Amino acid sequence: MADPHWERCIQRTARGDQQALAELYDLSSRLVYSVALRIAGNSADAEEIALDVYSQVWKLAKDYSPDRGSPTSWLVMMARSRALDKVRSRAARGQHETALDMVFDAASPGESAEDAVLASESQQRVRLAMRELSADQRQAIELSFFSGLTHSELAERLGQPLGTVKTRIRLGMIKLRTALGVAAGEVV
Amino acid sequence: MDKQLLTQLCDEYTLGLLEGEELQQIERLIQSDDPAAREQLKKSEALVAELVLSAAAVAEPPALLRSQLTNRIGDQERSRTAERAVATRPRSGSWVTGWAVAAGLAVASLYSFMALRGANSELRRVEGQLASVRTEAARSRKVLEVVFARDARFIRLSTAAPNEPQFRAFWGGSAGLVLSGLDVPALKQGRTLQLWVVPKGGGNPVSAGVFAPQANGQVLLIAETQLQPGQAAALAISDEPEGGSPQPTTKPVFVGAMGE
Repeated sequence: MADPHWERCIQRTARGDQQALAELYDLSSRLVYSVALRIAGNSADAEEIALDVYSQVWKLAKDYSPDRGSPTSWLVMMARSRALDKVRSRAARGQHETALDMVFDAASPGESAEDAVLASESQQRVRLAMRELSADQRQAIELSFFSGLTHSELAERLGQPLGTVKTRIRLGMIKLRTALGVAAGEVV
Repeated sequence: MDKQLLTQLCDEYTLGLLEGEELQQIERLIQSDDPAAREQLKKSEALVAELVLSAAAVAEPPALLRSQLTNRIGDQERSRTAERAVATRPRSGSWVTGWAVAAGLAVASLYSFMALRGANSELRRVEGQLASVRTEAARSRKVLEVVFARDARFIRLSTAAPNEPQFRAFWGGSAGLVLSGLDVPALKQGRTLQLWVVPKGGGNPVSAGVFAPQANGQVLLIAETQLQPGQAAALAISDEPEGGSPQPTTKPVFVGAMGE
């Protein structure tokens, strides 16, 4: 992923350059929109989330520091956080079950042929690593990406004891780091 | 705190899983700006971002979203400029004169603002139209590139049932893949059509994009695939949930063999 170029776009955006924001959008909107759509589950919300993310980028670009993470991480985490807010806000309006069930139904979809073709090398590496996990571990970890639930909320939703869910996630993350060749505390 | 535990807590904090004592423990470390915690948090965020990305199917945002963003940022900036102008206006003379000047300026600003707002709204409308025209022009160029590519292949996607809509695809190797359709009925709420490339040798179908017919029943999809025509056995279209599926969840409605 062309992160140095993304960083330059963010730096120019921080100086009030609207063209730079448009360039960053062209480079990254597919990524932001894909994450938003995966979590929110419908295109109308995903569009709103993507707009919110780039409005935030416009406001917060001056606070961005490469020392605290790559532009990709920054944008993906922002998209995830905004999308989870949207799902929670829908839940508050009484659409909780629909939103969360969509997340749960969509979890562990198996290998995506489309992704295999379109994904970056790094994403393909992560996907291969995910295959190393047991089905239970993969389900628990994927649900945690897309639901924003805490350990105990996740345990309740999965109908499993809290300790079991924690162990699945912890062992799964250790396996992932091992499969990715990333020891605890090393750079991903 | 040992490295393994810090890694685990940072991963789970980033995923939003922590609660109670574990959450307080990691928040205390972050608030104290602990260098090890800061560094590990950055790594956990990078890992979680990769994991989230790897599990999200690739989706293309609608073309109009870009101009909506440009308009939104433009509006924000105009408001901020107006606020700054009011905040930095110099004060002079007695308070009576000051208030009189302020009142005059307020009325004048209001008129200017209303006039500017009208002009801005017109400008935004024209910008929106221009963005649409540019997008359409780019799509038309792409379609022509594909149709007139030297190695373009023509595939008709049909169904056994009579009087069904017709889909045609042009696949121009590196130029890309274009699908067109006529008389395609409107889809049910929450559903979409998805184009698949069926690889030679029996591999899983590969999505080449989702689409819905326009109000007049027409379809024009500039498909997304990195496969080449020589690698494909057939193209197929299935009815899928909104946003598309990683693999077909219904039997394809339209199929077209690649032939030779």
